Amino acid sequence: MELLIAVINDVDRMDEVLAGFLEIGITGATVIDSEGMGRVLSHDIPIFAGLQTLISRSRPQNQTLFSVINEPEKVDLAIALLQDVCGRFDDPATGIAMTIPVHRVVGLAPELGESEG
Amino acid sequence: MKLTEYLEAGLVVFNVQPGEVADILSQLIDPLVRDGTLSSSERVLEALLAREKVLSTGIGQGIAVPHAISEVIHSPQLIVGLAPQGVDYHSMDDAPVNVFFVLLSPPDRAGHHIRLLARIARLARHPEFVDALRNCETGEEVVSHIHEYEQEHV
Repeated sequence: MELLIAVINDVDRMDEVLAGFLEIGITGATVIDSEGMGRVLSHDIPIFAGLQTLISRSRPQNQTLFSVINEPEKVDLAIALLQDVCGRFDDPATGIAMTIPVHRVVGLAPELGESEG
Repeated sequence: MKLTEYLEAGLVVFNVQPGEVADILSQLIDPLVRDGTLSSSERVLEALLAREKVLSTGIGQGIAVPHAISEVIHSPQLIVGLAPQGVDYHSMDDAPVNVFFVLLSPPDRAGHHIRLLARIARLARHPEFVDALRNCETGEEVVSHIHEYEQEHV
């Protein structure tokens, strides 16, 4: 079981990402609005204001997605999907994805069953 | 999950004609009525109309995704409909619809139904995919286009 954390810079892509998650059988995720470090520094700390190096690496706002995923193959599919939708995360200002092992979870919604409408 | 697992050339309806929503839906499910797949077209139509009453499946950008789950459907069915001139379908953006994806599933495949809907919703977000679909002239072209696009994307 892994926790997938993905920061998506183009927030308009999030609904496509979530639709794709449904497709591959990931039916639960939490999405929060977030801000990158470059954005916070360049806007909130005067000495960094106007530094193009920082500004060009960030967007006004991004979103961060959290999802606990049971099967390793779904994790692989989710990461492939994220980059299919958002562009390769190796490219600047697209996003970042990481996973960490999860040892215990409570309150996880069951997988989408065939009989659920 | 690929749409082309469920779509064949004979399930593409060309030249969908304008009319009431029920008339349009009747045209769209006609191939399944004619080949005997649907045991009761009336009940399928009722199910589709019931879903439209909740909220139009005309999702905007010229696309509609009428769908229903019904016990008279025995296996997932997908139909693509094209209306080159566009037809009024009470879409969310009030624009005429020229591409329909009709999805029908039995109750025991409801989870699968949702995944297929998600697939359609995701593909429909790609303007180049939908534009090319609009220009298809044969069922084979439609299937081939969707297949190619699905090969390129996760």
